[in-house]
Amino acid sequence: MKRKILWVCFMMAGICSATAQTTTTSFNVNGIKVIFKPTQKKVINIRIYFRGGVTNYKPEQAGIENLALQAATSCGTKKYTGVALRDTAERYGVQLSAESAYDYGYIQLNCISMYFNQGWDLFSEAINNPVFDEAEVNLLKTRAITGSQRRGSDPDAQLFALQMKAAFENTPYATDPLGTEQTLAGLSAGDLKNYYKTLFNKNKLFIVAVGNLDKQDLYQKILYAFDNFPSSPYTADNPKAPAWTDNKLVTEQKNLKANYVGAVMPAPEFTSADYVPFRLAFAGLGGNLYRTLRTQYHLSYDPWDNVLDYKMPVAMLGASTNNPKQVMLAMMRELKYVQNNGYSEEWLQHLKNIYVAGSYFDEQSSAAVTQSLGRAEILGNWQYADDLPQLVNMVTVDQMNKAINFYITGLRWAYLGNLDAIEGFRPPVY
Amino acid sequence: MFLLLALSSLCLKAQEVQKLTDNIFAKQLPNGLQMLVVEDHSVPLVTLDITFKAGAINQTRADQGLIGLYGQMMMRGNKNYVTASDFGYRAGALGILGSNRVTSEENTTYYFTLPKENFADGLAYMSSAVRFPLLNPVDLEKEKQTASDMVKQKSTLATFALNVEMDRQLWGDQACRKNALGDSSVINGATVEMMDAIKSKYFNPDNALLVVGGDVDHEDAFKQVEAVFGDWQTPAGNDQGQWIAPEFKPLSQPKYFIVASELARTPVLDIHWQGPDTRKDVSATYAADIFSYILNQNSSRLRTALIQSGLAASVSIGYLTLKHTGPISLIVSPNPAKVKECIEEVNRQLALMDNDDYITDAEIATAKRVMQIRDVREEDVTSTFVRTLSFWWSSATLDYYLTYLDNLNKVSRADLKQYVDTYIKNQPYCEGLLIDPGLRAEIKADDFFRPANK
Repeated sequence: MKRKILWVCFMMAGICSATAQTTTTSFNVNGIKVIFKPTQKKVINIRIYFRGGVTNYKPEQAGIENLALQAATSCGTKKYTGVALRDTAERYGVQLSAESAYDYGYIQLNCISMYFNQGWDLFSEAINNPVFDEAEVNLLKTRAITGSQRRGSDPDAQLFALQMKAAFENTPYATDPLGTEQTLAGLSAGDLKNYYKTLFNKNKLFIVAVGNLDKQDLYQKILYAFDNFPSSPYTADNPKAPAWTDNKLVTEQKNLKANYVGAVMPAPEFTSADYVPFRLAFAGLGGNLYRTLRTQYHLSYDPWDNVLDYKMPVAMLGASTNNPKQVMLAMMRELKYVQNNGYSEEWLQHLKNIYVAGSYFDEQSSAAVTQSLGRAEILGNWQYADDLPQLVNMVTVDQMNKAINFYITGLRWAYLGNLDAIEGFRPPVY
Repeated sequence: MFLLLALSSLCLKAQEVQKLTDNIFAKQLPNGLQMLVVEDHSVPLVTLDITFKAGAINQTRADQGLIGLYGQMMMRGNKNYVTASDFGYRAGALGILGSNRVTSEENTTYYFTLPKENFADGLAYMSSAVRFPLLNPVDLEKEKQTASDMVKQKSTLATFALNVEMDRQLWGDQACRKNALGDSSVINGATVEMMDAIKSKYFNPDNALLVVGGDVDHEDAFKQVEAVFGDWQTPAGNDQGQWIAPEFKPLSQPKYFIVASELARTPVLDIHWQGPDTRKDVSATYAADIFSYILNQNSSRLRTALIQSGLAASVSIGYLTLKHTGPISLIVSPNPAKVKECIEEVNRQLALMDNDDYITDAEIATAKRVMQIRDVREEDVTSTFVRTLSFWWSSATLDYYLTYLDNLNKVSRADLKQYVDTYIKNQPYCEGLLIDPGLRAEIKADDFFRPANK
């Protein structure tokens, strides 16, 4: 029986981490916070983060930050036309990209160290001098709308959207940071240009740099390129996650060969002392669910679990299946099992083993490290990312048992597929 | 020069350690198992990847999908970890992550990463799975269900039906040799005896490459591999090494088809040709990669004509390097309001592709440099780089990979023109259109989606 519960989902690392052997430091370049991790890797990754995410704009502007940041990196600058910018980047294998999510946006440089100077020139030029050429922006917008339509054909993306809807209706997260066909269609080049200016405040942004870089050279480059950014007081919004105890079900009819089931539940904040114990506990739950749904009863090919590292955190379970009722019952059963029976020392050790390997695994990629450090800084402090391995090693079984019971006080459900398959069925009540 | 010398002696001194690059070493065990060690001391991890030359190419209609099913059975329990739960439990104890098993066109590969202190235990764990699976009949029935679920899950994507139909049109009655997923009726009829036969035929040391990548010393790693896998023997009388796959039948004329699906929120145009392979026209495979890269550049004539004009949201051309007829693909996401115009422009572009001014010298130079940069990027993450090596081993040779950049640099404008003329322009192709039924009727797609002179 003991072995039955000792199952960890070894398909992926439980928690992302920046590093287990830290040399990360933070310094200030005339008002701009810089987080720097020197490595011997041949690939350099630098991101400039903008705080705020979906709280920066109105719901009817959904997608504006994502589109504005992408336009900066691809639609031309004072020095380069859009074509010249993209051509120059390609010539040196420089990847400029941008994205906006629920809590932040960023512009990213990824290049090999041999062409860092060329990459930095493009990166700083794109950030400082985008021109938002109308023709280029319109093409970008068309592609963004097509991308939105394409996501509408992806059941995994649709299930996630339903889960977010179940969890966050009437909160800032009800806004999709990638926008909808309708909101994207209403955005003009002028809108993007005006919005882009509002992001630049030394107190609202920070930079994360990882790679084979000289600290002094990096300092000088940042000072030279970005010292002209304005500076004014900034306090980030800290929306509180809605607390729920109900068992709401959100559905969408779709004729698919497999149906998609998802559960969403509350989780602790990233800076909470309960965060790491909860992450390990939830990874254990996910592992058990994988065993039950795929290995034991073959109810699903691809069950998954995830804790979203957002300012308003939630935990999710999901699976595609032909037996949605059975999967929902199994999800509830496995959750109740770990809540009632708890974890063991041996199980915890296995989860720690996976996590430690996972932290090193992520360290192989400069981009993964900047992402972890940047996300931790947004959610509280970059040092949490550095400290996570130590925090994991300190977790006790008692902490896990308390965390998995304390935070999960309700369960909401999402269902995508043939509604006949769940007709008359009431999802299990937490 | 050193690299070439090392390669020239690779086959002659296989059972001695060969230094292929500064950090890649090769050796072969007496039982035929080929080994590579990639030293990377940046993080204290080791990735193990064992790859067998057993994929869709080895299948017939009668056994399509069974190699993949056998791969699933390797994860269901073995003589040391009897049940799938035992197997998973041991993975947790060893700190294994990123574990996966994949069957594709020309290989089956199984890999995972674990802390370096568990390297020896990881080798034993892998050995248990690949050498001693129990092939339990109850588990086989469960894995048949998993295989069925996998197909159902994939079929929820709009492009799945397009891909299936493309394979059928492009490869004809040999499509089973390109489809690792197989056929559900064949899979449902699988028996333990069939699984055992597949194991004996393909999953042997003389048909395998084991790559160890990470924080290890190559001499020590080779010793540890030999200690675990040295007594593994290919069954007597196995002649798989002499097996020759039947050639794919060339297309004789263009083929067109429409896949109407309500799942297709945006249309997709997919054109495929039968391309070169690493046995019969290796030089064309290098030209194919350079040509694809050039056309995928932002300011290429192809992208300018389709993307910058607003006719398409995306366009991508590619070639999959294989030992047995790699496909060339051109995939376009037409603007739903301009599907007809987009297809007409694609046809115009195809007719221009062998013109002298279709690509510039600067584009060729950039492509060669960027392919080298891509190589640097691939080598930077060892846990995925080991899979790159095993892919090239099964779809070409290790020599092919190790001389890849040198050969790319030799590609000339004339080589690119020859590649286009031999495999693309005026060559038979299959062209499919994935489209929503409503849009199909609205734009009268059947009226214009028909053979043109390519």
